Amino acid sequence: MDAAAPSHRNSVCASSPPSRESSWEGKVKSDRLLFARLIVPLEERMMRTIWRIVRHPEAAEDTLQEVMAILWSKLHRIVRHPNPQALVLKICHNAAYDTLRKHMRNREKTGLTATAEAKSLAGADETGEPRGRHMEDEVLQAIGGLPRKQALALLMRVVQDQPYDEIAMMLGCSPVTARIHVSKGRANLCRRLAHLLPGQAKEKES
Amino acid sequence: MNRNNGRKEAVDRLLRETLRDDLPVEVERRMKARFDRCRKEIEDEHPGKSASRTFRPNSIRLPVFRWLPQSGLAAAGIFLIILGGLLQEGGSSHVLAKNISRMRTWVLVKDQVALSESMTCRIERIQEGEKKAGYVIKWLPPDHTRIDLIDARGKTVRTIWMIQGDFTVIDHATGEVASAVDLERAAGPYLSAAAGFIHPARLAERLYEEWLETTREIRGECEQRTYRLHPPGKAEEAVEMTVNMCEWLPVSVSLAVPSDPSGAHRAAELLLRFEWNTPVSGEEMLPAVLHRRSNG
Repeated sequence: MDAAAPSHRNSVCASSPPSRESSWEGKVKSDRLLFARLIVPLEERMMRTIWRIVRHPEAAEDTLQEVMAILWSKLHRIVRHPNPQALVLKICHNAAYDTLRKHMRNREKTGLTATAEAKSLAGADETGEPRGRHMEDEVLQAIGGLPRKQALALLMRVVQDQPYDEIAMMLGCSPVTARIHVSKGRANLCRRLAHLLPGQAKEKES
Repeated sequence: MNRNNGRKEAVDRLLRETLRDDLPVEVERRMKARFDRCRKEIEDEHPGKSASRTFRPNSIRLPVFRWLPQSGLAAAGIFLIILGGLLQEGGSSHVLAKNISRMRTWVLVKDQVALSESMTCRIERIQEGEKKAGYVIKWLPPDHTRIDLIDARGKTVRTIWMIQGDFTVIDHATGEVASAVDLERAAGPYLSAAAGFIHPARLAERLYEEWLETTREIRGECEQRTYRLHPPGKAEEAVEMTVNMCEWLPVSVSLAVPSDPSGAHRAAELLLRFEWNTPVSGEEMLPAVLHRRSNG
């Protein structure tokens, strides 16, 4: 790679010297600087975003590591994005959604369905943790069962309270389409989780 | 409408309740540790390794390809995939691969020959441990070859000219000049083991078509590979040739025959050692009479 070639990295990191000091070394240094300035301040939000969706300690750690690898390898693309912070959070959502799907596939392989798990948990404790955990599990599974864009749009809207414009930018669609994704995702969840929604259950009974 | 709103609110509430922001302290500590470890790995990473990953999309493109639009490269890639598929369907992919490797070898040898005005090879013929005779091959591109056959006393007894496929044999003892089209008939079995060395390019072709690679070893700075060729059904009567892979030129050729009827033991009957000389001039190469023939 010739030193004279115009480089985006040089334009972003104007403070870096017009490096001849081994061009790789210089570029890696500037990348580290970018990483420290852009990603490190988001550490807390990234961890919380992943945790809120994955809700499993080890899976959350692994997901965070995957996100870090993605961020490092696509750093120069992230920097070019008009809203890098939002993009980083979208990457977190994406990775967390993938972890949910992976979890679902593993369950299907082992033959352990949500119903079987529910039965085993129902007998364990009537009041405490297990029932709550079961509900959580069902919701996560329902989210994992949604199409990717619907799931991401819904999570960004409901969990992160992001405006539709931002969601549209992240998903590469118009704000109207983003609204449709959220609405469809909601309707889908409503169908899947009808038994957990008080109003819905009553409607069914009547 | 109200029912829809109620449903919407219920789903949102359920989602917010379930996916609440309640990162446990212990999990937070572990995730922080993982974050720090990943960051440290990034910072400790070897610049070259890191760069190869980070800058792959730009750095992998050679300067000559930089002006090409990526869509053009993509279209070329798709075309090659389709071509590969068609060749695969036609069952001819191995022919293509073979031709490509042959072309590569041919180009290597051709370049080498073209770079020098001519090339000389002195070949020692050793039989049963003692030096018997030898011959000198001189190549003058394009397609002019002179072979001097030398007897045990070092005297040139015969010269063979090969000019654009036309063979001329000069017997120095009798002074006879004869034309021949069959090298083996002209030179007898004397040259049979080395008949492939008529031209370096042909040698390279034969290596890929007929010779079987047996061993590889590094000698000095260059790798040497040994190839074996044997008559059909007579594996014990093999001719082995060692080639210097830096220059693509033969180093030695040996012909072995079974020394006992069972074929378990083999004795070297003939050993040819190649000594490659510096290029010689064209004037030295061609006698005037042959020069006129080759031009006219």
